[in-house]
This record gives sequence, C-alpha cells and structure tokens, in this order.
Amino acid sequence: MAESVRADEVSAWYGKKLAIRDISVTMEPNKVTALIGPSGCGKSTFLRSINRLHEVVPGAKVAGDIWVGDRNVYGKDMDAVKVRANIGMVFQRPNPFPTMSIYDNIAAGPRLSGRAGKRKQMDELVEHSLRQAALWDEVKDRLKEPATGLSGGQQQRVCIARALAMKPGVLLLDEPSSALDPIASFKIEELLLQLKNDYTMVIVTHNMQQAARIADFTGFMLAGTDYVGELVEYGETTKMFSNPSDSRTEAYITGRFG
Amino acid sequence: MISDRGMTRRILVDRMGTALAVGAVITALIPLGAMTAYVIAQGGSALSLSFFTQGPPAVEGQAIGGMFPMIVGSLILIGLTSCLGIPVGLLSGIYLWRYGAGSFGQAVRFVTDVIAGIPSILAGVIAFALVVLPTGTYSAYSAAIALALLMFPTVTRATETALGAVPTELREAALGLGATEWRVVVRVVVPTAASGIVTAVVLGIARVTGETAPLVFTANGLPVVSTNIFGPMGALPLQIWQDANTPFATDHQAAFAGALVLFGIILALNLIARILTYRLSRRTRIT
Amino acid sequence: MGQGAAAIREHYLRQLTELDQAVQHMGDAVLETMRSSLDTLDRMDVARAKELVENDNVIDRMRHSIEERAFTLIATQQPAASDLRLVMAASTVATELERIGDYCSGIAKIVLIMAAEPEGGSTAGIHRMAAITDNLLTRALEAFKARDIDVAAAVWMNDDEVDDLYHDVFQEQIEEMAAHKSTVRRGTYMLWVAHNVERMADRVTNIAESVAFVVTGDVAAFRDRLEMESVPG
Repeated sequence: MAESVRADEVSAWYGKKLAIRDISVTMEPNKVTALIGPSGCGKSTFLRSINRLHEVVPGAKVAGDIWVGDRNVYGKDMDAVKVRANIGMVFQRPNPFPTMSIYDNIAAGPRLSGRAGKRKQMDELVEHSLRQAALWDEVKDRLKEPATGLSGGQQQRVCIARALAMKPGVLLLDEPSSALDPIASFKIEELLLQLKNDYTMVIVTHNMQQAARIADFTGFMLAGTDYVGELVEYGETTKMFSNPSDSRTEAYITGRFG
Repeated sequence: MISDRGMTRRILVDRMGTALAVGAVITALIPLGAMTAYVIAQGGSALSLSFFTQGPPAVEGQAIGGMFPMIVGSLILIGLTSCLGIPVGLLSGIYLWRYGAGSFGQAVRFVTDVIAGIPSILAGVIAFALVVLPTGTYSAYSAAIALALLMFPTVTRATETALGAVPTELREAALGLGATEWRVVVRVVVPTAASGIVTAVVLGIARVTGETAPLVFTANGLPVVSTNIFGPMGALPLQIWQDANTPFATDHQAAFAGALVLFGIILALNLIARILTYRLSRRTRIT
Repeated sequence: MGQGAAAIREHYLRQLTELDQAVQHMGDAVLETMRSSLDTLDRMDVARAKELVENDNVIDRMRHSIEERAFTLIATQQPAASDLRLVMAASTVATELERIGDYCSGIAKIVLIMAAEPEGGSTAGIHRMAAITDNLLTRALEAFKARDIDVAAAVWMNDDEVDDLYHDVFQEQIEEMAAHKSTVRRGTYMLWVAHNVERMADRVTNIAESVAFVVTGDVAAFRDRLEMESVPG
C-alpha cells in the first residue's frame, strides 16, 4: 500500500561536512515526486536518507525525522535493515546481481531479508513483480539466464521488479534512466506512471523534462555558497515549470545556471 | 613543426627502447626455458609408473625408487595448509575491505605485508619454536601452520582487492533490499568477487606447494606413507632436497623426477586458477 | 545570474531576446499602420489607402516569422517557466497584432470605397474612439516591453470607454441616417469604421492579458480584478 513520506527538518552529514540542511517536505501517497537541482545539491543524499542508506557510508549521519506512513524511520526502536526492506530503491546504473539469474535477482530481496516463502509462492511473486515492471513477456522464457545478459533498459526494469518484489510502500529512484537511451528511458517513465496506482514514488533526476513529464510534485534543491543543500521550493510540477515562485528555481529551470 | 632531424632522433630512441625491452624479456626467458628443459630432460627419464606407487629405495643409491609417500604427504600438507590459511586469509581480507579504513586496519595491513615478506625459513623456525619444541615431535600440522603463515597474506590482500573491485552499487542494492551487512557480504559481494578470490586462493596454494625450508623444521618425515597429521610426514620438496644432497646418481635422478612432478602440480594449479578465473569472470561480468 | 546565464545558454537567450524584439518591432509597425489608416480616413487619401491595403501582407509576414521563431524555440530549446510564457505570449500577441493590422487594412478599403461619396457628417465620435484605441495600443506595447502588469491592467479596464463610445457613435450615425436619407451610404461605411476600431480596441485588451500572463503565469490574471470591480458598492 502506498504510503506518504514526511521529512521533518532533515539534515545529513558526510563526516564533519554538512550536506543537506533542515529539509521539511511531505510527499503524497500514490504520487510521483521529483527532486531536481544541480549536481552537489544533496538531492541524492536526501533520497538516501529516506531509506537510511545514507548511513552505510562510513562517517555519514542524519538528523531529523522521516515519517513513512505512521512510522518514524529514525525512531528509537526502528531498525535500519527493516526500514530498507519496506522501501524500494532503484539506482542510477542498472545493477542486477551479476552472479544471479533473472529469477534469482527478483527473488533476492525476500531471500536476503529472510522473507522467502515456498517455491510456488516465490514463482508467483517473481512473475507478479516482473509483470508489474512490464518485463514478464520479454523474459518469461529465459528466467534462468543471467540478468546481466539483458539490455540496459531491461536490466533497469529487473531492478525495479526486484524492488517491487519486497512489496514496498515507497519506491525511491536515483536517476533511474540517466544511463539509458531515450527509448528505454521513456519506457521506464511510462512504467513509473503505471506504478503510481500502487506506490509512492520519489525520483531524483537531472533531466528536468523528465521531472516535468512524470512528476506530480517537484522539489528544487540547491546548495548555496556554503555548499549545503537546501530545499528551495516545492510544489505542483505544473506550477514549478510554468511559474515557479522562487527566482532561483526560475533561473535553474530556464537553464540560466546549473 | 618538429624538424626532420628531431623526428629521426625520436624514431631512433623509440626503436632502441623497444629493442631493449624485447632483449630483457628474452634474457629472462632463457634461464627459465633452460631450467624447464633441463628438469624435463633429467627427470623425465627417471619417471615411471612405479615412481607414483612406490617409496624410495630401502638402501640409498641402489635404485631410483618412487615418491608415493611424499606425494601423499604433500597433498595432505596442502590440504591442511589450505584449511588453515584460506579461512584466515578470506576473513581478514573481508575485514580489511569492510572495516580497514581506520588506523587499526592500516596496522593489520602493514603486519600482513610484513608477514608476506618474511623468508620462508623463518616461518619454519616460528612453527618449530611454537609447536615442535613444546610438543616434542615433528608434525604435519606444525608444517601446515608454517605454510599457512606464508599463504594467508597473499589470500588476504588479494581478497581485499577483489572485494574492493565489486561496484558499491551492488552492495547498496542488496542493503536497499533489507539485507543485513553480513548477508550482503556472503550472498552478493563475495560471489561477485569470486573469480578474484579463487585466483588468489589457488595462487596462494601454488606459492606454498614448492616450499622446502619450513618443512625441514616441521614435517621432516620418513619415507613411509603416514596420514597422522600429529606426527612427521614426508613431502615432495623435502625429499627432492634430501635426494639432491646425497652423492648417488640414482638419488639425483629421483630428485629431478620429483621436481618434475612438483613442477606439474604447480602448473596444474595455475591452469586451474586461469580456468576458474575465466569461467567466474564470464559469469559475473557487469555490462 | 546575468553573467553565468550568458555563459550557459547564450544562443538560447539570444533567440529569446530576438523573439521579444520581433514582437515589439511588429507592435510598432502595427501602431504606425493604425495611425496611418485613421489619418487616411481624415484626409480621404486614396493613394495612401491603397498603399496600406498592399502593405497588410508585410504585417502578416511579421506574424509568421514570430510564430516560426516561437515554434522553433519550443521544439528545440524546451523553454520553461517565464521563458515558456514569453514564447506562448509572443505567439498570441503576434496573432492579435496581425488582426489589428487586418482591421487597419479594412479601414483603408472603406476609405477607397468612400472616396466616391460626398463629404459631410460627424466623425468626432470615431476620432475619439481612435484616439483612445491609439493610446491603449501604445500603452499595451509599453506594458509588453516593460512586463508591467499595472499598465496592462489599466489598458484592459479602459477598453470599456471604447465600447461606450462605439455605442454613442452607433446611435449618432443611426439618428443622422434616419434624418437625412442621403447620408445612409456614408453612415453605413462610418459604422463599419467604428466597428473596426472597436474590434481593434478589443484585440488590444487581449494583448494586455498576454502581458499579464507573461508576468503572473495566470491565463486569466485579470479575472480577480474583474470580480473586484463587479462587487456592488
């Protein structure tokens, strides 16, 4: 079930260096929220704070609260491993596990997190996830083949299916199509729009047109002269791209800097 | 524009450099080829089926005999060494890869490098002092400890390097699916790095297979088949060394035959490493 | 941001500026044409009127050029935010200006027909309409140039004056035609002229709305002002 994501004064550090400061924002369930901004603005850091992946970098830490549904990801009794199991993540470069077949890649989440059920259930889960990722028809006859043998776009859809197999409430996407050609990229976008019915999606993208095409809401992040990223403006995508409130958003969206 | 004279000079220097490099390679290959040819020529004639089935002659200098007990001993020693050296090497490699950024990690890395650099005879002396003297007997397991000491640094550093070559995104993908650190290492990172690790292990084994000096102080066995790892045990390099030190021509021939067998084993191990690397890397290639 | 801007998308910014200037240039040309056409009416200058009718295609070409620039910008540069609004507005404003040009041409054609008619009758009302419309277009073009929403709003409100005057002129002409049969032909032509001027003023309000869109991003930016106006008391 799609869940909302609410960040409350989230700051994140790499060692002593502050990367993002006091980000507060609510991302609606069943919507696509895009995070845009120039390189180094901290949008990926913020995204990785949502599923507590930020803290796996040595010395990295996060302050503030992030509520996914009614649970505080940074609550006292919350275990980072459990948090990550309930939030899907898709990365910039397609990264299927190279030692695993297509089937095993999809089954990896349940297996790695100790949730794997019976063989038949797993078969159903794999098929369902691949169907959701619009990949089933393309790979159903080659499930035992290595996932790395697929095209880049297919590999990325394997990664999406792999994330969906965990039945997450939220799907985080860190520039999911920046390594793909335009057609493969459009397919991913189309897929995300379909998945909106069941998931809340947060997508970091360098491609402003992509944000304009698929996001319901857009957040613009920018690092000031102190190199600390902040959320400059957040709002409906149509408003952000036709008439942003902040002059910095306007300047970025129209390509005046970045 | 470069003048014609300058150009000619550059071409000349380039050709001279190439010639020097080719010359150096040939210089290095000549003794290697000569040695191989000599061992094959000398050892080949002494090699027969009985060499692999019988023990050394009862009386020195009477016959070539065989090295069956030593071959068995060497295989047991290699197995025992692997049981000790590979897990230690693998685990410390994983440790260094995952937590080796701090000063303690640097210290471990430094010590590992130092151990990798010690003369092999010193490893034998250490095992002699720590095991043979207190227990009062030469033993196969003391030899294995000495050999493992020589083996594990290779495995450790190669494991660390192989794991380091695994893309961070794979680790993060697994973490992102809700896997614990340990599961990520065991189920995703190590399998992905398998080709590098297996190569490291096989080369580590090959490195200690031919070691002689540490065995003098540790295994030091008799020319009879022994499977008791707590007692002395024969080994190929040891027997070759001993045979080479007698005045008898038949013993010298036996030594060359033993050297040829050892040569074959090491060659086979290297081939296995190559094949496994190729197979595994094909499986784990990231496109 | 000025300096960095030029460095990053210099070509694009030049295209935008050129589009902006093309609209302003067309505005000036249309304003000139409007003055000429009414001047022609005053003097019954047949030669000048012919020239104006022929020159209408110059204005048409200006519009086509602007639409092409706007289309190319959208297709190749993906303008966003205020840039996108300018491109959209440029296209709209060019269309409105072209229509105004058509009305000017229409007036010139009436002049050609009326040249055969005897002179006489009142044209004071039409002159007042024309003066106000001239002023409205001048200010609308200024508002576009300066992106001044207040001036645009004033233009938008002042359109009522022209409507009222049109109503007066209409009454005046009807009454005159009823009193003197000989003035019917001429009166009818004058009604056409008055109608054309009224339409021009209406087009000017559309230009004012486009200016408001460029500034605010709201396609009906003056709606709120209208609602405020219509509140009784």
